[in-house]
Amino acid sequence: MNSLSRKFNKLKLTKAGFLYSLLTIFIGIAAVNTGNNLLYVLLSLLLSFMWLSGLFARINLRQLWVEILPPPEAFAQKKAFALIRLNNQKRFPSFLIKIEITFENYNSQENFTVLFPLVKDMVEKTIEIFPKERGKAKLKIRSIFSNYPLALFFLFRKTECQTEFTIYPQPVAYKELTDTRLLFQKPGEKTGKGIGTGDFLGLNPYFLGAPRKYIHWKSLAKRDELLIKELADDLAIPQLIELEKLPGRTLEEKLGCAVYLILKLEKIGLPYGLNLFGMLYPIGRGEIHRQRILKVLAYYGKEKT
Amino acid sequence: MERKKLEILLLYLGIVVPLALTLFVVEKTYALLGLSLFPLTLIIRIKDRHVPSWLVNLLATLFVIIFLLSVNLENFLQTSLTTLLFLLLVKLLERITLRNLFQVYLLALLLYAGLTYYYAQFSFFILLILNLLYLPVALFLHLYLEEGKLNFISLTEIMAGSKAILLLCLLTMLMALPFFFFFPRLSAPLFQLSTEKQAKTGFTDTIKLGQFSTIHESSAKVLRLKINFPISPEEIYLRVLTYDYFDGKNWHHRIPSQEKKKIPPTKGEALTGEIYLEQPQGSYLPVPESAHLIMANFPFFSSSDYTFQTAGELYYPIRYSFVSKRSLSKPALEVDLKPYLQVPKVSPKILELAHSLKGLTEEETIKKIYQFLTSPNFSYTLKNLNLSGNPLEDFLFKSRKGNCEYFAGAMTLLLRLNGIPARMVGGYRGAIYQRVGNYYLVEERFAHAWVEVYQKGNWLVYDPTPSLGTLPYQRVSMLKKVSLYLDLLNYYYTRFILDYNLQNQKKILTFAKNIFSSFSLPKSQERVQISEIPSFLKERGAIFFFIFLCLFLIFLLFYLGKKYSLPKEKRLLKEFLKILKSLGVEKKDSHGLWEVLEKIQDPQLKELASKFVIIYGSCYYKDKTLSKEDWKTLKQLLTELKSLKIQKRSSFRPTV
Repeated sequence: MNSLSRKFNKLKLTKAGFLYSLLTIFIGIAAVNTGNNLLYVLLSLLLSFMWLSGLFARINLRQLWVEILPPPEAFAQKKAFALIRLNNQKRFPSFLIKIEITFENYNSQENFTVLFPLVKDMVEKTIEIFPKERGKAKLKIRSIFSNYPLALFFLFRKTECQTEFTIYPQPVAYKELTDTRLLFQKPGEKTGKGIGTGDFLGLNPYFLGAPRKYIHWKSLAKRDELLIKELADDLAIPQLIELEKLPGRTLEEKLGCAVYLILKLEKIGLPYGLNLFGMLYPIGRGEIHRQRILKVLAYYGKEKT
Repeated sequence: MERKKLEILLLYLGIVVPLALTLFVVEKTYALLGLSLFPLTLIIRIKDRHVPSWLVNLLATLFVIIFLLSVNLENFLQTSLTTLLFLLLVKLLERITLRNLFQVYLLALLLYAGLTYYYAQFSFFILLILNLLYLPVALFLHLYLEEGKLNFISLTEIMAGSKAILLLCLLTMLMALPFFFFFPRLSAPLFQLSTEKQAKTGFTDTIKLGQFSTIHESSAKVLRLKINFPISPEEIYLRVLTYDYFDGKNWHHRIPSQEKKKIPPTKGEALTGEIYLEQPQGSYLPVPESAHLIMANFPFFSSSDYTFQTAGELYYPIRYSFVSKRSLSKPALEVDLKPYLQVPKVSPKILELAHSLKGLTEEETIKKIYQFLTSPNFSYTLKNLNLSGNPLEDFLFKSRKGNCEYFAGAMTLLLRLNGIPARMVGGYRGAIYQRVGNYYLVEERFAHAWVEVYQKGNWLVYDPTPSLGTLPYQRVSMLKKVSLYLDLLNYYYTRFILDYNLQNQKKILTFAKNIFSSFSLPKSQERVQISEIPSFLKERGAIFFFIFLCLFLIFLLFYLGKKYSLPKEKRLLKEFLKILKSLGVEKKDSHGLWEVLEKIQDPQLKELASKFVIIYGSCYYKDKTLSKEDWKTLKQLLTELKSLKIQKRSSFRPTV
């Protein structure tokens, strides 16, 4: 979470503000020339309003905390949602707060302007991002500004709020993935030996690439539901994803396949490791393991910083 | 609330007042055209139709070209207002966008600026202020709808936005005061604008018998009189003009007013005062009966009949001061008195009556005529007055009832028939005294006529109209009392806002300069300086006090705003951390409350602080609001912490 800097760096006059200034000058000249005190009243009101609206605009942007929550998981070439949270710690509400956000993903850059019409205490808004490449991504708040109270000017406030996160490779599903025996290698054993001999633990939804012998044919016949069996020995048998053996012509496709498999394996609870062109990543399970493996895949061949 | 409905409502509420007021000012043809176009724009708005922008721009350009071709210094204001009126109406035909709305409100503001030359009444001032309070609120709501791309807006949103903008507007009003008082003023305009003649009310050069009976119903304010000598309201006679020619039915002012450089002062004590004239009395300036000198910042001239007239068109209300004497006779300045002996063809009956009232001397004749008319046979009435045929004869011989024109007219005629020069004077008698403002209010219903008789080189005042019973200024109902207090506001508005000028500004600045220079003077001299406060400032002490009060209020508002801008829970925590800091335990930004507790060494302090943190944390970190009991306990703990702080400090104090 980042609070806004106390410094205001820019005040940009709008066309309406320019016209307002012209009107004030015009009425000022008319008042001084004619000595009409009602024009002096009008002029005094216009001038003091101009001064006070600046003050109110500053108060409007004060004591605001802004927070960017990146998408929990973002994949290349897939939509993701980031959350912008604005917290107002003033007693008075803030109005028409605009936040300019930049989403940076290597060579691509996307700008968003999020409007918060009324901020009493805390408000949240989501923005939709579309990462083009795997690897590093950054959500950066460029400025926070408002044209409150009457759009006569925009007052900008400095901010240094940014958050970095990882874009995982785009998951790619191939037909070949149906026979996972070709893709998985158990350390020290030949491919496919001994699979499916453990005790029956339960049923799981079918996923693409699950060995045929795992399919629970009875449920398919009775309820027309495609399920796979979960066997005790499978949980104990570590699976090593060999990137080299995965289908796909390019590296990106192979990485996509790996991501796809990881997601599926994680879903059914199978432990897995990664053999990334000779670089072995130990077998494991769980959220942290998954993120670590996915990050490795995301930054493979790319600069991390 | 639906966006479309709200936008139309906001827009039309914002422009209807300046638009309506402009219609009264511009030429009738344009006013009628404007009046018929206005509902059309509303219908188009409601039906969600609009005229294409190119057409609107074309029409607007056309209006501006017509304006540029027809404008000159003489018709500048009216032409500008007419152009602005049509520009506004045309703009109303366009699609509602934020840009267009800004332009419409800008035009409305410009209309107001122009209207200030035509309307200077307090009621206009109030309308202007209310409209200026309203316009920012309306504009903000338009902006809110547009920026948020909202089709509906909740009442909570309207209220939250309006409250903030209203606060801004109210502060603007306070902040405007120094700008108003200290903004530079010129002693004379750089170029003079003129307006069309204003509608004339009050006295004209002709007075019809019975005319005052309708005026007596009107409580329209004519003027306010501020005098620095005590006088009872019924003794006030304000002279407007004299009538010298009688055609049998109506009295006329026929003798051309000749400009006299100076009216010589009459004998007696000089009395001074000020008049704030609200309504034009033709070109005449009402003055107390024996006034011989007036001072004003507009061109005027005085005539030999002791009347004063303006030399040009003026914006009302106006202010002028006068010098008068406590005397009912004044030296005659006329060389030729023949016009004051003019009589129309009268009936033998009137002629006979005039001769029967003739005395041995002029004084006796005057006395007899006066006594005849003020006898119980004659009575005052405003009802069933005979206005046709021969009204004066009817009054003298049949009804014997009439109002002041009948009595004054009859006396003038009878005097002239007896060869004594006389004239009728039109003006006001009586006033309502406003105790708080210490001024006299004269309303139209106090219009009166009396007689001036030439006697031994002097004009003497006679008022033959019998007592009115309950005089209008004595009838002060409850409602009237309230309206008198409202009039007080009006009086102050005229006095301190409309009448504020370069001289007043100079006086304030000189006074301020004296005050500052007095700080460096020795004590004895300082006293002299302070005692030399100009009378202008003594009178306006209340206003100065008000300005200081406003500045103090602004300061207070900022202070409180800063202090209370945090939620109460945060304020409580801030206070707690402040106490801890003063006791040597400082919380860093990265530290939580529990980490702060760990830093505390003193067991007593630790116990109190822990209690505070437990209660506070149980609510704050769980996103609950503090209950009343918790609040009370936390407050109590803070008090205990404060007393501990004092205790600790005193224990560190070295003993002597």
